[in-house]
Amino acid sequence: MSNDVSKNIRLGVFVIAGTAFLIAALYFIGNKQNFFGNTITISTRFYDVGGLMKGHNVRYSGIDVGTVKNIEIVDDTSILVTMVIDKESAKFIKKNAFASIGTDGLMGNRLVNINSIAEPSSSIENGDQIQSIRSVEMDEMIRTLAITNQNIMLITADLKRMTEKINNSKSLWGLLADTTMAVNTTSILDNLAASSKNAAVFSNDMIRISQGLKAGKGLVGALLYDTAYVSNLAQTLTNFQNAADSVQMISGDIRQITYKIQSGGGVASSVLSDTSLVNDLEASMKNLKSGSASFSENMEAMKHNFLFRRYFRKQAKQKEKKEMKK
Amino acid sequence: MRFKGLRNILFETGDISRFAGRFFAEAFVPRYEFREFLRQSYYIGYKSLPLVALTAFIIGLVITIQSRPTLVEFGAEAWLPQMISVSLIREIAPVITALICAGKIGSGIGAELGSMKVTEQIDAMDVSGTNPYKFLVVTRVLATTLMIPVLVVFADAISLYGGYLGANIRGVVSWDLFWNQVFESVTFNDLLPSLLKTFFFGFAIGIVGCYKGFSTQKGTEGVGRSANSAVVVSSILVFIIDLIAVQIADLMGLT
Repeated sequence: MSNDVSKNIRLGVFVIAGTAFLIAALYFIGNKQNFFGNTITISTRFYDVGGLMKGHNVRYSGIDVGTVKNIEIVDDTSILVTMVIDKESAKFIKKNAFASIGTDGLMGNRLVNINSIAEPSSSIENGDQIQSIRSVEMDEMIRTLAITNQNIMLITADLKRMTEKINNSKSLWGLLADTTMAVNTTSILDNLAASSKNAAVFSNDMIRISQGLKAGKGLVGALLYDTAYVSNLAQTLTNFQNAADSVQMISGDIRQITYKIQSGGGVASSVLSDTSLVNDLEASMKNLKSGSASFSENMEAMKHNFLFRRYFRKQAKQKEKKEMKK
Repeated sequence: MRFKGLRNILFETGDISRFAGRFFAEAFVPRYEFREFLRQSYYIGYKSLPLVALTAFIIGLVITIQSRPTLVEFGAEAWLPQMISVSLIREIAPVITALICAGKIGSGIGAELGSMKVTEQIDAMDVSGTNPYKFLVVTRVLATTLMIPVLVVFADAISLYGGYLGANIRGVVSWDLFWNQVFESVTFNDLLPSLLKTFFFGFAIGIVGCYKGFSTQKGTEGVGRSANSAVVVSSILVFIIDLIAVQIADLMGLT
């Protein structure tokens, strides 16, 4: 009888252990499938789910947070995907997050990716619908890649033609191989540097000058900036005007005088207009010249005269002394 | 001769069906032989555990080692735990366990009941007022029906442990990662149908063993033949049930 009891105990242990394994397995699987625990249901609409099925994973920023609960066709352009999300994770998913269809690895299971955007929003709640974006499909990518390839082909063909032209152009290669040109270019650049230095100095001077002008230095400065000077100048100009008026009056008088001289008799008029007088004057001048020549002859003679020789000698000596003193 | 063989098969199928029908007629009406049921459960369940555990461990290890080269070829070595867990839980562990039990339990029941039959103990039981079908068949069939699933759960766990060791022979998969990946890939749709069909495995093993024992003829020579044919028929039935179960599960979308 006690043998029976111990056998039954062992049987009980066996059955309980087996059931415990089963329950543990069911629990772990259920945990993964979100059948137990706190979950919320959210949904999103896709244009194309790309083979997504019930039970596929839902990932939020790469972490499994739930599973796809249901997929139904709503209308011809949208498919409603209902997802079960773990409540613990759901508080991190914001209402402005967006869902997309992705693939686990390169050729693994389909899954729904939920990604957040960097804008504040409140957490999702049960029954919320989040927005979706169209995922990049493999064949669509390849289609785009084909177009890109064609473009690249054309571009490389053009590039090839260009390089061929460049290679065939002798002038360009000659230009590139010319060493003297390089030297010239360097010297030109040097000159440019020097002249720009000069220009800098010149412009500095200009700055100083203009500063001086502003400060009212110099004539131009005074003209431009000294108001007192300007009033003086105006005064001067008025004076000048008055002087000019006087001159005009004087010149008018002079004209009257000359008119009178020309028209009237008198000595002045005859002096100016009488030609015979001119001839007389000429003759007188000739006489004067010959007279002065005779006079200098007389004087020379006087020098050699004994009466005056002493006086002239003395004078010459005094002149010599003066020059010695100097 | 061939015609006779076909007739035999048809006769036996019908007879087993009637035998099974009688089980349902007798199992749910008192009086219940509870003590005998526990005794049979002890022998069928508990005593089979070491054998089932050993085979499950070895098959888990071997399947893992054998699967690795193919997965390495695809560059999907990381998927090893997922793959072996699904194949072990869905198919290999239940069927291996059922076959082992068909060998051990089916032959045991066939031989036991056969020897009781040829020594006319069953007739004596009938005369003494004990319903031999209730006492011998119902308890054994119930025990196999309920114990095989428990053994399969053990086999699942132990074969997965074997798989964990197998995965770590060449690669490195941590304990946590292994179980994480296992429960990542195994779903209720994998576990529940595979567990459900083991009840039918157990029932088939028990009913065939009992039928063969009950229909033993021609003395002690027939006992050996009964034991032998019990193993053969129950093994074939295990595969047939497996086929049907997989198709039903597939039709129900439990893939």
